[in-house]
Amino acid sequence: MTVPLASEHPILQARASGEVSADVSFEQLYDLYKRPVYSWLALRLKPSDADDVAQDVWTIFYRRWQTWQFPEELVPEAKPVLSFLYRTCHLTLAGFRRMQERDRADDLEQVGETAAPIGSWQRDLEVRQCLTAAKEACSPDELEILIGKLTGVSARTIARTLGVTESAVDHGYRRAIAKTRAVLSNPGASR
Amino acid sequence: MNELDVERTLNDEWHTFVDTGQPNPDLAVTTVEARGNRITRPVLWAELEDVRLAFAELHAALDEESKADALATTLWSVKDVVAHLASWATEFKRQIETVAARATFDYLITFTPRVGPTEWNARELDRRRAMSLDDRFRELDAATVRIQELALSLPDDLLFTAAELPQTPDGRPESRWRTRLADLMLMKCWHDRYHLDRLQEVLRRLE
Repeated sequence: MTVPLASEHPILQARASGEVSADVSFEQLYDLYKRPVYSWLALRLKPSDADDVAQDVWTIFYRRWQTWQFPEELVPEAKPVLSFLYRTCHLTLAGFRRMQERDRADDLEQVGETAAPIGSWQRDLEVRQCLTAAKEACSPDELEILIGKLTGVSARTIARTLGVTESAVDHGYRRAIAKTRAVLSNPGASR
Repeated sequence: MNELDVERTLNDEWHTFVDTGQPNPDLAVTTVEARGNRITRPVLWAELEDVRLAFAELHAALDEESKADALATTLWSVKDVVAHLASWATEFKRQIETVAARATFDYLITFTPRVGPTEWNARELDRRRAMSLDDRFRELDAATVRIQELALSLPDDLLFTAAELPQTPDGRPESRWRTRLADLMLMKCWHDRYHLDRLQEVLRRLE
């Protein structure tokens, strides 16, 4: 089960053949993937942080896109850009969290944790029962696997991103579904 | 709800979540206008982590000694290239720490255009001849981890202000490179990937 996304293949073909510039094709790819990238982050961060980290992810992709290496034959089903963005989201989020931990340690004596204002979209998440239950029930890696699979990222890319085997990704996905179900049937249950 | 129902519902909810999200509509344009130069600490950390993970994969793939001894350039074996990368990782780390300590450099690295710092490279490679492949990877990883820490901890005025480095195109101290430490960190990633591409190609050929 995956969210159907338009194919990146025509954009890659046009860029590889020199029909469109790196900048124009970057904007096309942004249009194609801005929503999943933002959602990957917004599920786990407050809106202003999701905006910042999304900007970081697209900055990294922009720089890499300038010297992107295309294989001799582009496979229509392949999604190298989606894979790149998924991995980059994972790494950038890890970097952001480390920076937050450092800042929190530095500020420990000065401030308490201030609650982030909840945006309407985030409030809306609360009425999405299954997704909220998954967020509550799953470990960070299981959630990463779940949202990757739901977006159509290949098991191979997810496995490489998390440093696990493809069968561990499949197990992680099944475990995430089972844990979500357990929380839905017993709201007190968690990780 | 059975597991299949949970899976279906999750898929629907995720789809709606994605469709109703509000990503910045101007981000593509502003990123293009900035030429991708809006560098932040998470960008630096993620880029360094990306090459770290790629080196870990490469290390795991070098499971036979013969692979490490295969020729990767006209002069260097795979093992030599790893030593070369370790030497530059250590040098980049040293340079960043020196600038962070607000100290100056008492040496130069002559970086001849199109040829590179051949003498420095050869000397550093010689110093690592006796090191095992594992030790070379260990040095490379340790220096990269340290640079990641510095990317998160250096004050803004050190990380994002141009500093004078020992690299010089003509051997003259007055021609020394001036660059931001943040850009030096990205330069390390670019250099790592340049060699990684070649090493991965060599491994593919051997398999």
